Amino acid sequence: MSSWWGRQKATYFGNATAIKEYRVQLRSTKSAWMLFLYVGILVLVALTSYAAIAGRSGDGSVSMAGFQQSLSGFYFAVLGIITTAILALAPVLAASPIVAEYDRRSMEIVLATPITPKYFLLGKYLGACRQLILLLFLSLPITAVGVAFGGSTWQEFLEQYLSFFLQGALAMAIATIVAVSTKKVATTVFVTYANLFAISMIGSITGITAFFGPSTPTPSGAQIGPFYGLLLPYSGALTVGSVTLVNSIEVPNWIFAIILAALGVKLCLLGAGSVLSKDGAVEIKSLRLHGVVSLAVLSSLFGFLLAPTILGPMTAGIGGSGGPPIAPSGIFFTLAFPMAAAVFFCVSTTSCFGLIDERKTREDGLFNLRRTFTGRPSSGLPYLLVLALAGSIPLWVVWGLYARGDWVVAVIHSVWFFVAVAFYWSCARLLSCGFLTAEAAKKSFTGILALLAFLVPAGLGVLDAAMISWIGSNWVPWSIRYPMIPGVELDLETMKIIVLAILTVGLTYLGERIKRSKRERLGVI
Amino acid sequence: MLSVTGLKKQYGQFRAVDDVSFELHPGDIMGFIGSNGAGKTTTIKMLATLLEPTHGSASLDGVPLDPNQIEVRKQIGYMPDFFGLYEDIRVWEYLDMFASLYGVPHSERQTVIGEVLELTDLTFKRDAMAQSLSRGMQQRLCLARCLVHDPKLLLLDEPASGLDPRARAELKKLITQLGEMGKIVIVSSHILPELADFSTVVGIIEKGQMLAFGKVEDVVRGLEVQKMISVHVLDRANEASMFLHGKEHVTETNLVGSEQLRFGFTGTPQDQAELLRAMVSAGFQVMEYREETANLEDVFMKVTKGALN
Repeated sequence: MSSWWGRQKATYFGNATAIKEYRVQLRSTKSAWMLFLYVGILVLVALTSYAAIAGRSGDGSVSMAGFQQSLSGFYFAVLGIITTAILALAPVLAASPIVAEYDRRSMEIVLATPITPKYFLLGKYLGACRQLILLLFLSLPITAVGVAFGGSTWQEFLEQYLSFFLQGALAMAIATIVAVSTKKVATTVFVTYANLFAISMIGSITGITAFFGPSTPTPSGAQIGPFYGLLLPYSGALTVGSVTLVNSIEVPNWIFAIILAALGVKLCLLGAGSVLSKDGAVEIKSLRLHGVVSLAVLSSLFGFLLAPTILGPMTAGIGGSGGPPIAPSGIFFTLAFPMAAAVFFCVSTTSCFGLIDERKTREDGLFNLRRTFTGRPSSGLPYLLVLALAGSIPLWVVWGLYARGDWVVAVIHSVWFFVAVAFYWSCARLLSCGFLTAEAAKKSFTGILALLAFLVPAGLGVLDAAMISWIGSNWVPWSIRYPMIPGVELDLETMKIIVLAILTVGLTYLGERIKRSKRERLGVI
Repeated sequence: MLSVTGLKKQYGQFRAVDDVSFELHPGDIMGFIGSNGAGKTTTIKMLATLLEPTHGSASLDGVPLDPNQIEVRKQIGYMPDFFGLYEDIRVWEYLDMFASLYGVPHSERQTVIGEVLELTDLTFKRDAMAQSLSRGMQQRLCLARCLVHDPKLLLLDEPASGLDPRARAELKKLITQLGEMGKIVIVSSHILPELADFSTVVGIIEKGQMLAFGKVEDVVRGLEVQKMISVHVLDRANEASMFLHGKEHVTETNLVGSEQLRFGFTGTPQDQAELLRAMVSAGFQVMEYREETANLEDVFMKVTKGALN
């Protein structure tokens, strides 16, 4: 126990990489300029907003009544600019020190010491967190003005700053894993923004839906909001002070936000650590296990916390008298969407190796259940299916509770989701065999996913509204909604899923053929 | 003792290192010679536990050098062929960071840093920024970094590349000193003269295979490198060359100038003395008659074919 505590202490408090970052990060003129610019912009925006809301008349006098009314607007304007600044700077703060290690080739020297990739990356991350906290501290005097004059309460103010920190911390964690993979600051920033945008979109869709439910005000009059609201950039400010009802108990949403952010940060850092680790290393196993558990937790939170907010108590039953006013299938699509998106997000990272890079991982076939957590090529499909299963089970239970124990329907229909996962895996495998490097295969897969999942259905939908429903139910990631619809014509849907399964087998076979012929041509085995 | 057995690194069909085996004892300084791409760096990286061998193993005092057992790295000091120094960091801070990474207790770090700075002659630069040091000093700082945890094994990959003659001489002196301290030192290079002065053991690698290994004298003797004799005559060097041509044990003759020639000789020392007597008897005014010592370059040229992987 004492040695475990000693290790944790050394990793989190005496981390040599973090101490080095603390020592050097404010020495360069670049850092000084960045801070100067940041404070300058904040002050400028605050002054401009102040002048605008203070209701100055032509002769320069100030209308106090107008000032009081608009103070809240001033406060939110400043929050908006801080959010923008934090989200703009956080990925750069996290990515720059890591990319610099690659550029000066010091990474190899550091990793030749008796430390784990986790220790090293955590040090970098803690260093970036310190800068984030510094940025937040520098903004305090400006936002405090809004609170002091009645624009907000101190409790909301503190919760808002917690929200800023969690959003920045999440952005930095995403930037860390991207920086380790791409080794370029500009690419890291771009990919991090894309991820944040995707998280915001998914979160907003689910969050907005939650507000349409028949939620009743809490006894204390607190606002009910999506439990992850504080993590959503910009809309986070709207959910400050909100709560989630857990068995009629009001739980402040900032608690959920901390838990979710901690899970997200841990997953990202583990992911970054596994990129730096050798094939089959402990970090990869740990990442994969954490991934499964996190997805199950996420899915449970969405199912058990959001469903009652939208649909009322679970004992009501769908379709029964006094049932919810919103179509339950739509709600379940909403609840399952984040889980499905997470599974599809993992397809390229688990299955795109590239022809040359694959031989470095000691390729071992297409499917091996025992190697699910190893990170080898044969672990791709089993791991994706395990992930899909872990994410689906909580939703089956929720469905069962609403559908008066009719869990079987949900289970049978989820087979379609699993086949869709296998189909996308086969696409990833085909690209993995067609391209030489993992990076090229992953980029191409992202393009194909976007094409198949968004562009083709959208295009077909414009041509024929009926067509999108037929096409969409098979291969778009949100086909997860169908498993949750009761009374779907099984014959037609079964036929479609068989076609998708045949396609999966065909693409996998084609990929293997391409791999063999390419290797013979290139002279590599 | 460092024991390397059948070390192999393979990427598909490509063998970067092929069945390398050797043993080194405390105090040994091994000159690891090979052309660019011969497999030196891959071997060193496997010994530094940065790469996992495809086959074979290595151990230091019986402890396996396994990439998954990172604790063993506390016994290894690894210096790659680049500096990788940080910007905006002071010399002592840089060493403090690595001492911490290697697990040197906080209370001992300042003493250790003082000692390694003294050993590498950098005490006066303790508070200087690392990037402001000269190239030679930066190289010594990198070596100091490898010494903060007092390792048993030092792996130095091309340590003298890019250094000026003075810095190179200082580095040689320092490496010799480390050998005297009882450390096992492996120094890789493709510049042979820089290794010749301080190596006690030599390993020659080509296409991933260790072609020769052993004490420098043993390797030279074992490879039976042809003995070369240099002769300086007062005049008639051309005639002396013709005189030697065709004599017993003389394999080849080369005129070096109007007064000097070299020839290969396979006979015994008695035969060598007899040949000198014959030359003098033939009226050649011999000013110098000496055997050239075979060096690492001769050995290297003999055992390698210059082929790269």
